[in-house]
Amino acid sequence: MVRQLFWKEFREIRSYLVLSNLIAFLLVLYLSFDRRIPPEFAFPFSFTMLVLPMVRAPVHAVTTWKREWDQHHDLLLLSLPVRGWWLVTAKLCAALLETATLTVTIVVSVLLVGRTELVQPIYDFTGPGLMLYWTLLVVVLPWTLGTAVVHILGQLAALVSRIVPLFSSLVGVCTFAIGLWGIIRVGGLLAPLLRWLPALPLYSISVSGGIGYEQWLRVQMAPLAGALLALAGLFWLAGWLVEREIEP
Amino acid sequence: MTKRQAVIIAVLSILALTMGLDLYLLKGEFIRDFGRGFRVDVSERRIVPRLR
Repeated sequence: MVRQLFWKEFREIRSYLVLSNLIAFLLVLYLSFDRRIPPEFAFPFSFTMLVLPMVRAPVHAVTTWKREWDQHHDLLLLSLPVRGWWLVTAKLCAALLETATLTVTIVVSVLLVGRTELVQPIYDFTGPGLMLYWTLLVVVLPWTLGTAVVHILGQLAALVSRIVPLFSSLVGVCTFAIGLWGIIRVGGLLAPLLRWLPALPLYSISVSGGIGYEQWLRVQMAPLAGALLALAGLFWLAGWLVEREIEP
Repeated sequence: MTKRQAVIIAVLSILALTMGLDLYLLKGEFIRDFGRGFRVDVSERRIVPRLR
């Protein structure tokens, strides 16, 4: 049942996935073969399309629920023998799948045809493994987290505005804004309590005058952990609303 | 309006008011608080050999 739920969400975004990945690939191709563009721009701009899932996530979150209600799929959806949070998770995974496929498309395209002159001096010291580690940690992880945050908030906004049809758009926007504020606020407030969490070790390498220097950065992730706890609370709330409060 | 809708509007109004006061009175201090929590310890720089 859960697998069918995920498959349904995937089918809904299938054509969009193909289109966005094709555009990402064409963008990398254009940036690679137009020699008028300096490498300082070509390399970072190859990753521009990764912004798209995060920008689209709240829209996807709201429209996907709206479609269920407009097409009366909610009658079937809410009668399924699955927990509310599975419905929320399936929709979230559809959005995260977009980030994942775009990452693979962009990284593979950049490795195959991209202009890597900018990172070549570092690449000589690190090799492909470390470059991949940095791409995942610095590019993919923050964008994936950001996409998840705005998607969960978008779903919550859609669900709350469904319960309160009066000024539903205003209620939705307020829910989204309050949720975002709440996550940052709770993250900051919980940070002193979560200092015991181990710091995240990050390996950094820089090249100066042909000599490579390595450094370890240890980043305290307590505020992020607090924010993730708040996000988990909002995720649970969205699941609870689907299960208990939303009526077909 | 049902009781449930009234409760949700009341909760949202209180939270929106709190957020507004927080933003107005503290002028985004909570965002700086959040950022300050990410303390970074940097180790000493060491020279690494070239792979190729």
